[in-house]
Amino acid sequence: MKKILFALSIVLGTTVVGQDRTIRPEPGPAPEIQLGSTESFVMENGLKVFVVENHKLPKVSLSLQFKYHPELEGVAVGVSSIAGDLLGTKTSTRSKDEIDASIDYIGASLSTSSTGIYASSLTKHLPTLLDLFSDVLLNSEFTQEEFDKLIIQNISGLANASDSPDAIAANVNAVLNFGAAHTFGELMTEESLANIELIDCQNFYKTYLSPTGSYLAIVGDISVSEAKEMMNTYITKWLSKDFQNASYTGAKTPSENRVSLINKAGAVQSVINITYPLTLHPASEDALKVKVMNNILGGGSSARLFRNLREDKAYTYGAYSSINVDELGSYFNASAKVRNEVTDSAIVEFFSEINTLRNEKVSQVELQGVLNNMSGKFAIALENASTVARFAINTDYLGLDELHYASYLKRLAAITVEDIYEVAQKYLKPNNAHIIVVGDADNLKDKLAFFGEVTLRDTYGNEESDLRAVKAGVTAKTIIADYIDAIGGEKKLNKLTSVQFNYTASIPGAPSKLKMEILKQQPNSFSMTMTMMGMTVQRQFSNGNRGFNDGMQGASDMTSEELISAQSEFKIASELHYFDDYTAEVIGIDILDGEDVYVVIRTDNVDAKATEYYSLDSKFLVKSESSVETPEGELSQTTLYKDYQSVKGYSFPHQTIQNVAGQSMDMKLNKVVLNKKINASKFE
Amino acid sequence: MKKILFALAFSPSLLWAQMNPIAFEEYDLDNGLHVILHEDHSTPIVAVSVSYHVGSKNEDPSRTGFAHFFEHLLFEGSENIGRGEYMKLIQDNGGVLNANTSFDRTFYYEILPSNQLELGLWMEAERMLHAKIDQIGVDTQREVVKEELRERNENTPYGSIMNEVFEHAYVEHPYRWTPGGSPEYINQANLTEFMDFYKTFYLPNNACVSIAGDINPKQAKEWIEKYFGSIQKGTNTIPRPTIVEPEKFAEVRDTVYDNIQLPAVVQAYHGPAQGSEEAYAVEMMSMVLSQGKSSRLQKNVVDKQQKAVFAGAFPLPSEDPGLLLMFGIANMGIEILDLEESMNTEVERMSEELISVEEFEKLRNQIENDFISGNASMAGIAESLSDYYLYYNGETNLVNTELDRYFKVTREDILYAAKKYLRTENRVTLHYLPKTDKE
Repeated sequence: MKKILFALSIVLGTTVVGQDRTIRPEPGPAPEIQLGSTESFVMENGLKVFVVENHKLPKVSLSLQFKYHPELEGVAVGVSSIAGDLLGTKTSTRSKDEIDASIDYIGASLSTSSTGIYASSLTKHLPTLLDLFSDVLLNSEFTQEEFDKLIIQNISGLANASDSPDAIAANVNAVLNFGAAHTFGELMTEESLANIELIDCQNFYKTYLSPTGSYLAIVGDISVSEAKEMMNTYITKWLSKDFQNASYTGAKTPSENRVSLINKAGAVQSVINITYPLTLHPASEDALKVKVMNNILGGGSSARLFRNLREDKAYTYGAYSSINVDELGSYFNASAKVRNEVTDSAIVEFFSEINTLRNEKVSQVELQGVLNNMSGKFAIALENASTVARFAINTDYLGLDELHYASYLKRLAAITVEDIYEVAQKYLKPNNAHIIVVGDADNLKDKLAFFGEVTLRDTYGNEESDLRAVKAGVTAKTIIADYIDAIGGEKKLNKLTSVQFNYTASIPGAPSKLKMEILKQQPNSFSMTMTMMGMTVQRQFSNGNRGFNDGMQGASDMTSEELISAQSEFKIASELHYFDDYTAEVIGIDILDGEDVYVVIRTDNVDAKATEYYSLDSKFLVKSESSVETPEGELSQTTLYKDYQSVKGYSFPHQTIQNVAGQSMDMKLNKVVLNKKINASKFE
Repeated sequence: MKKILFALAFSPSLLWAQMNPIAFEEYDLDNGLHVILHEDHSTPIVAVSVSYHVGSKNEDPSRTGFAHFFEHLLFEGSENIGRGEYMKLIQDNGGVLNANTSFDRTFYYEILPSNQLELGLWMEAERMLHAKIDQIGVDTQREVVKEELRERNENTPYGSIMNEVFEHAYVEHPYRWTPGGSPEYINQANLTEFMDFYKTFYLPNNACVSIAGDINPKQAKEWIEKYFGSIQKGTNTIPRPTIVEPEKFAEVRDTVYDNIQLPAVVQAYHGPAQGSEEAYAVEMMSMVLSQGKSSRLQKNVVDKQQKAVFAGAFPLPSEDPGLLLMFGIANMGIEILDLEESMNTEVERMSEELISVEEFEKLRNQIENDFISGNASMAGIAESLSDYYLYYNGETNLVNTELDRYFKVTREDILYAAKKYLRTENRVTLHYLPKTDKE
C-alpha cells in the first residue's frame, strides 16, 4: 500500500510541476527576415554614397571609408596612422580648439583615422556636422605642433602596450604571419616614430585620400534626396587623386610548427596564440564554409574549444578561434589566456580539437546548431541599420554577387557535413602553425620545446637572445687570452715546434674503430690520416704551398680558399694567432650542460662564421659550431671538447666528439708527442 | 561573464519629445515577479532578460565574489537542461546570451529569433526554479572564475584599479570589495552555501523579467504565467545591507605598484546615490571634465599641457552612495605629482566658479544626444527598463522622462555639487607606479 502511494505521488508531482517543464518549447513559425534597402549614387568626383533611410531615432551617422592598398612604410612605420590622427587637428579656417569645441557643442562625435572618418549627430545638428566633416576632410592642415604632440603620445602608447600581453601577442602574430614585406607585418616602434617627418604625413594625405574608390555610408533619419543635396553642397570640392595600389603576395605558412616565446617575467597567465596565414579571399566560394567551420571549432561559448578548455578542463576564462579574412591577407588564430602551469596542456587540447575537426566529420546535429546560430545572428545584426550599408559597400567593393547577402541564409542552409570536412582538410593546418606564448619564459621554455623549436622574441617579434650579459671588461680578447693561459700559456705555446696526436675514434654503425693521426709542424705543415683495419680511409695534408684531400669522395687539391682556411685551422698553437686569422665578438653567457659559457662568434678571412663556447670556470674551449659547404649543401658541424688533461704542462682535450649533419664521431686521445721533429714527407 | 563594473559611461535611455516614446506595460505576477514588456516589430528578434536584485553588496564579507561566482554556476544547467547545455541550447536556436554582476544586481539576457520567445522564457524559468548546482559545476567554475580574475586584474595593466579604489574608499560599506571578490573565498565556498544563496535571492519576488522586441504581448503574458506563475515566492525577508559608509574627514593616499611603464593618478570622490537629484549634477560635472575633446581634462591636461596620454572622469552609478572616479595616465617623462597637480587644478576650478553658459549649453546638447543614442537596440531597451524599475523605486517610465531630470539641473547645482563632493578630504588618491620603481 505504501509503495503504491509513493508511486502515485510521483505521478502527481510530474503532472503538477514537471510535465510542462520537461518538454522544451517548440519554436513558432520562422519569421521572415527583411534585409532592408539601400540606395546609392556616385558623385561626379567618383565618391560612392550609400544611404539607408531609417527614422527610428532622430539621428544620422556618416561613415567614410578610404580604400587604398598602402605602400610599405619601411623604416617610418606609423606615417599613415599619424596622418589619420592629424586629420581634424587644424583646417585652413579653424584651429584645433575651434574644431573640438564645435563638435562637442552640438553633442556630436567625429573621429578620424587613416582608413576613414566617422561622424554622427542628431538630425537637427546635421548641417553643422557636415560643415565640420567636410572642413576636416578637405581643408585639414598638418602642423608641426600637433605632429610633435602625436609622436609623444604614440611613444607613450607604445610604452603602455609593452606591458599588455594581448598587445604583445598581436604584434608577434602580425610579424610571424605576414613579415616585414607585408603591410600587415609592419609595426610601429619608437625607432620608426623617430623616422617620421611631418612632410611624410602631409604627402600621405595628399596621395591617398581620394573620392575615387572611397565609400560613404549615410545611415539614419535622412532621405536620399536630402543626402544628395548635402553631398553636393559639402563634398563636391573633394578632388580625385591618382595613386597606385600596392600589391602584396600571400604570406607563407611555416614548414613545421614553431614556438615563439615572449617573456613576461612573473606573469600569472600565459597568453597563447596558435596562428598561421591563410590563402582565402573574402569573395571566395570557401569563405562562408570556413566561417562555419571556425564557429564549430572556436566561434563562441558553445564551440568545441570553449567547451573543452573552459567548461571541461577549467584552464581558462575563454578559448576561441577566428578566421580573419581580408583581401590583402588572411589568417587563422586560436587563442586563450591560461594559468601558467597548464600552458602546455592547453596547447595539447588546442591541437587535439584542431586535429579532430580536421580528421573527423562533424555530426549533422552539431552543424545544424551552428548554422541556426549564424542565421539568428544575421537577423540580430540587421537590427542595426548600418549593417545593410556595410553589406552594400562590401558587395560593390569586393565585386560580390548582387544577391550575396540576400542569399546568405539560403547559402548557409545548403552547407553540408562534407563541405565542412573539405574545408577543414584544406584550411586547418595543425602542422604548420606558429605557437605564440606570452608568459613567464623561465618556467615555460622547456615545456614548450615539445611543440617545436622554441625561439625567444621581444615584444615586436624580433628574435631575442636568451643569453645573459657579460661583465664589463670581458671581450673576445680577454676570453682568448684566458684560454691560452689555461692550455699552457703564451710562452710555452711559442715553444711548440711540432705535435703528434693519436686518436681512436668510434662511429656508431661503423664495423670497426678508426685510428686517426694528426701531425703539425712549424711553420705551416699539417697532416691527418685516418685508417680502419690498416687501410687508409681518408688523408688530408697541407704544407704551405699545397693542400690535398683524399678520401671516399676521391682525391683533389684544396682550392686556394680551402687552403687559407686550413692553414688558420691547423696551424700549430693556432690560438696564439687567433686575432691574425679571425675577428671575434662575445655575444653573451649561455649554459651548456650546467656550465656557464661565453658565446663567441668567430669570423675568418673568407667571412665564414663559427660559434665557440668557452667555460667561465675552466676557461677551456668546450664547444664549437660551424657550417661546412659540401656537394650536398651546407652541413652544420659541432665539436665538443671534453676531458682536458695536462701533458707536459700543456692541456689538451682527451675526448673530442664531432657531429656532422647527424653523423657523430667520438675520438679518444691516447698518445701525444711534442717537439719531436717530423719528416717533411709526412706532409706531402 | 562580463561585469557591468567596467561600463564606465552612463547608459540610461530616453526618447526625446520629438520621438515616439518607448511604450511598455508592466505588472506583477502573484508571486511578486515583476514583468515589463516592450513591443517593437522592426526586426524579428526578441531580447529576454531577468535581473535579480542581488549583487556583491549582499555578500558575506568572508565570501566576497559569491554573487558573481553564482552567475557562472547558473549557466551549468537545470533539472531539465543538461550540464553544460544551457548556453548551447540558446545558441543552437539562433540566439546570443550573456550575463553580468554588479555591486547591486545580477543580470541575465538572451537575444533570440522572435519565434523562440517561449524557449527563452522556459529556460529563464528553469534557472529561477531549479538550477543545477552540483559539485562538478562548482569545482569547474571555481577555476574558470580564478582565470577570469587573473585575466582582468593581474594580467592587464592598471587592471586592479577598481579593486584598489573601492578597497581604499570604503571602510564599512560592502562596496569595499568589487563583484570579482577574492579568489581565496571562492576556494572556501561550499555547495550548501550556494544552495542557501540560491534560496535566499533567486526568487520571483526579487526579480524582474524584461522583454523587448517582436512579441505578441498577449501570447507573451500567457507564457510568462505558464512558466513563472507557479514558482513559489520567498517567505523570508530578503536581506539588504543597511550599512552607511561614515563621512570622510581625511584624504586616503596610497601607492600601488603594477606591471606598467607609465605612472597613473587614480582619484575617487565619494558621491551621492544613483537617482538622487545630486547624482544628476555630479554626472554632468564629470561630463564637463571629460566628455569630448573640448572637455576640461582632455583639452587642458592632455592636449595643451600634454601631461597625460589619457585623462577622464567617470561616475560609477550605484544603488547606495558611490564614487566619481578620475583617472589619468602620465605622458612619457611626466612626473606623477606633476600630473596630479594638473588634474587637481581642474577639479578645484569646478568648485570655485560656475561653468560658462556655453559649456552649459554644450552639456545639455551632449546629454540629449547620448539619451537618444542610448537605446538603439532591443537588448539595451530591455536592460534600461529593468534598471529603471529596480533602481528608481519602480519608476520604469524614466526611460521616457529622465531627460527632464537632467534638464532641471542648473549651473548653480553643478557648482554646489562640486563644492560638496570634490573635496580633498572626500577622496582617495592612488599613485600607480611601475613595479621597477619599487626597488
